[in-house]
Amino acid sequence: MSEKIRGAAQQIVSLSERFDTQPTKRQKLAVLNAMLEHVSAIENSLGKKGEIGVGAKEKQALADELHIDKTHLRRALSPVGRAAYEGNVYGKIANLFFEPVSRLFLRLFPRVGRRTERTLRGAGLRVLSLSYVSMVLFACFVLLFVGTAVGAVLYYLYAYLWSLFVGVGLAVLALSVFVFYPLLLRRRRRRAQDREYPFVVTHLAALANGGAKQIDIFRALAFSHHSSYIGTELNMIINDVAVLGRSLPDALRHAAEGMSSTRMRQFLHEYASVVESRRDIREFLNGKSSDLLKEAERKTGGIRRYRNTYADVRMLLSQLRFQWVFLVGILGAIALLIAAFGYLSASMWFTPLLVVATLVGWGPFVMVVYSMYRRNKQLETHFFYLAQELKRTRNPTKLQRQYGELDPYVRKLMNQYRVGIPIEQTMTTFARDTDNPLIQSLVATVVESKKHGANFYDTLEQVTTSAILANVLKTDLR
Amino acid sequence: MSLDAIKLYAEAIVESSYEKEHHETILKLTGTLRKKILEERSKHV
Repeated sequence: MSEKIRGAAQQIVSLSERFDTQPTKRQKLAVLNAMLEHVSAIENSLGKKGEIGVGAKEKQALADELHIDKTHLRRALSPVGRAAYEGNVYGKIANLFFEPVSRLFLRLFPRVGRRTERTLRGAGLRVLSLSYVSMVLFACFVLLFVGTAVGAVLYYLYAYLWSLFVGVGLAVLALSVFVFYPLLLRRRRRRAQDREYPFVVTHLAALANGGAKQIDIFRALAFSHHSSYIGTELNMIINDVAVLGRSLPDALRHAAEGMSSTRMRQFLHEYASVVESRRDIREFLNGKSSDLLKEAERKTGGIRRYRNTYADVRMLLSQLRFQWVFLVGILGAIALLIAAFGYLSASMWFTPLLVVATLVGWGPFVMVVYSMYRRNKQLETHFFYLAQELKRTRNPTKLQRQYGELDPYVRKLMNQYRVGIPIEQTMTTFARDTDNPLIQSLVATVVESKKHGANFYDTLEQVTTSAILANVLKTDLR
Repeated sequence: MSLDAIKLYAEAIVESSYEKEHHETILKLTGTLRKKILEERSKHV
């Protein structure tokens, strides 16, 4: 081992001596890269992977520099390719003790097993029904004994029978949590899927119109913002086709089985039969999407509008970063509250001061969130026009319109394209710079569908129109 | 200049590799060496 390390270090010494004699920048870089490789070799022989230690604070600063929200950063940093699924530790432990009993239970009650499997899939939980039964049994068993033991300590003065009640009570509580939690999740997921259904179909139609074909449409959809509602099913379709070699109609039907939303299930079956009968998929999707959008248009307004605003605010909160003005507001509010309760509690100014303190405390926060909301909306509107102009010109250097908030990013886009950086890369940089989740997800979808042969500009325009239309319908801003 | 530093650190690793308990020392030296190389590299990118 020592010889290896010594050899690599000596190589670095000789490379550092050669460094100054290199005539060009490129050659100097090559020497430095070679040095880094030797450093990695040393680290590997010491049993450490070649990685640079970055502290949490430094990591956060670097992430802030990227101007990218946490979800996208996580997605960007996640390893490319398919990772093997690892079961959860609790399930493994539970199976260790209860697997034979669970197996027997499922053999005796096959209907319960099938229903459990369907519920778990519908809820988007990645647990096998066998493991789930083991988990329920294990939790009940442990809580029965722990509860009884704790009860015995608590009620040792009265009667030991009470301790048994505590144990049984806890076990029943665990059982009901295990039964109702997936049902609750499934219901929530079904509602979300029903709500998003028209927009998912419109998005699919847009991708098909852009030139994406067969399974690639679903691959591209997995990169969009819809993946949070139907991610499990999309992955299932892609894996069935790409890994298990099933035909697309079979994969669609298989995914439809576990779909909690009835409408989406029907849609997947229809899609499968259209593919099988070799009908034009674009025609089918366009017809379906225009019908669904009309229906969505009728249903907008009222309570739905507030629910969508709530969803918008939740998204904004995930984008929010700490700002000093928040601290100033909170300190101001605290000072006013101290003044109100300490010196003016009997005065007529007490109530007005409380109101002012609330305004001062919440004011900066509300103002920042509102300005972010406005900025996002403006960026999205301008992006819509940008996508249209890009489709027309098919060349970012020929853009002529003014894009307001989006202008600096568009200028950067034009310059990068002019120096020869490919359009996918320039658009990805552009999306990252805007710090807008919708634009980022749209560009990611388009870049993905371009990889599978779709036309970049057509898909961008189609997908953007569909997403902006969805937003308009959701917030009823017509 | 960080290139001199790179050379010094690499030589220090060569020296340390002759010692018996060198694992920790070399690991620290390699970490710093990597940083120095990256610093120098950033000047030329």
